[in-house]
Amino acid sequence: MTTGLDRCACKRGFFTLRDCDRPATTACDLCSRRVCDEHLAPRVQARVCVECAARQAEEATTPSEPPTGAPVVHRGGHGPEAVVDPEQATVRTARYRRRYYDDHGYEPMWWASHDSYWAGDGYRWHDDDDFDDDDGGGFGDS
Amino acid sequence: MTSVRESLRMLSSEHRDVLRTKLVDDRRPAAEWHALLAPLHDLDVRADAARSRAGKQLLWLYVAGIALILASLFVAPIAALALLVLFAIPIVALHLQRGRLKRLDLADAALGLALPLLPLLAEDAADDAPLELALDLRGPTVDAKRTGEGEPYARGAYHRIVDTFFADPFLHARIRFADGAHVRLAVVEHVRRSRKVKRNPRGKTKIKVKSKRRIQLDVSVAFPARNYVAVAAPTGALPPTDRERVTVRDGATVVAERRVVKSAGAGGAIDSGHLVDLLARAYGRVEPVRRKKL
Repeated sequence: MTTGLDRCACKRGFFTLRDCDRPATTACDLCSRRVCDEHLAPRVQARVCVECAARQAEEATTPSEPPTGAPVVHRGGHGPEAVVDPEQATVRTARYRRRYYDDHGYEPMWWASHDSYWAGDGYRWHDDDDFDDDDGGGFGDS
Repeated sequence: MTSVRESLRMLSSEHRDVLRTKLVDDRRPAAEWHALLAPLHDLDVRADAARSRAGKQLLWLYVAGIALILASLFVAPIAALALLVLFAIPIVALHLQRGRLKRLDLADAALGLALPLLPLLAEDAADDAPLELALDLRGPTVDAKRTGEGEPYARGAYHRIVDTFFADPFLHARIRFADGAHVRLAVVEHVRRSRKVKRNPRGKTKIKVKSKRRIQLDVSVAFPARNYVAVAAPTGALPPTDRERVTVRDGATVVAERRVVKSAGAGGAIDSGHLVDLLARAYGRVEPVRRKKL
């Protein structure tokens, strides 16, 4: 595990989420979190992290629930698109991750330190009242 | 064809080896797999488009050629001969071009399923863990994948139907995730190709060849007991899969999920969302047993 204060705040992973832990190089204009170069979305006049870019992109698209409010039942047909340019892989994956969580109600396993940015999102973690919090963020390395 | 030539020029010797053998079997980081497969996918898309264009041009040349030659036969037979030569040259050239492009063709199912998944697997992969990947890009109906032929039978207007069966295990992958989970993916395409023969009322024999495919997608995830425990009921809103098995062995909870997709035709693209769903469903069958920053 890498130690240090100025680390990227974005989360790595799709089925599970963990800290990026790469050295941060800048701050996101929207969420103010410190992020690394890899988790910076390609924008011309702003510095936006891939997680904020994904949220913005998904909020701008039409919701995928029908007007009746019935949940959408997916049986495939919603996979990620093939990314030919490797530089686009991180930003495209972050967007697909956001869409997949929203559309399928998938709650990833949380193996990262506490992050209020994700407070409104569903994720799964070990919730034990007797747990001895020795990591300052709720995730002790036992 | 120009864009296909440009794509071909960009390929390394390793890419050309894959194009020649149409088989891939190696261990390397998911990002490196992406660098290998993305240019091949790009070439395949361009080659498919060029082949389709050439097919349409051929159709027009045949129709226009036959019409003009027949019309000119009544006016000046020598002109018909000249037209025959005039149309024959581009027709032969286009057939040769389609043949060259056909040799570049890679199975859409294998490449289309693997390539979109690579960035996702790279996200969850342990830092030092390579992705073991075996891809068969030859397509499902090559002779080597033929598993048998049924006895001829009759049905409806068809007096002779012969079914040929193929099994194509075109994708197999293994990777260790950062949370210690060992993930295995396997996809097999089963094809039944039916050659049907009938005779119409005018006594003409008509032959039709139809294919049906059944794609079996299997995902198995071994969750380490130090991080996960099985739950009685799956969490999340994902629909059930066609088969689900949860077993505990060797200090791990092993969740096996299967989905079967049926469609007409053979070798077409398959949505990688099926494998994402199966993996998500497997993660829905366990819960974390401790808090730890990975």
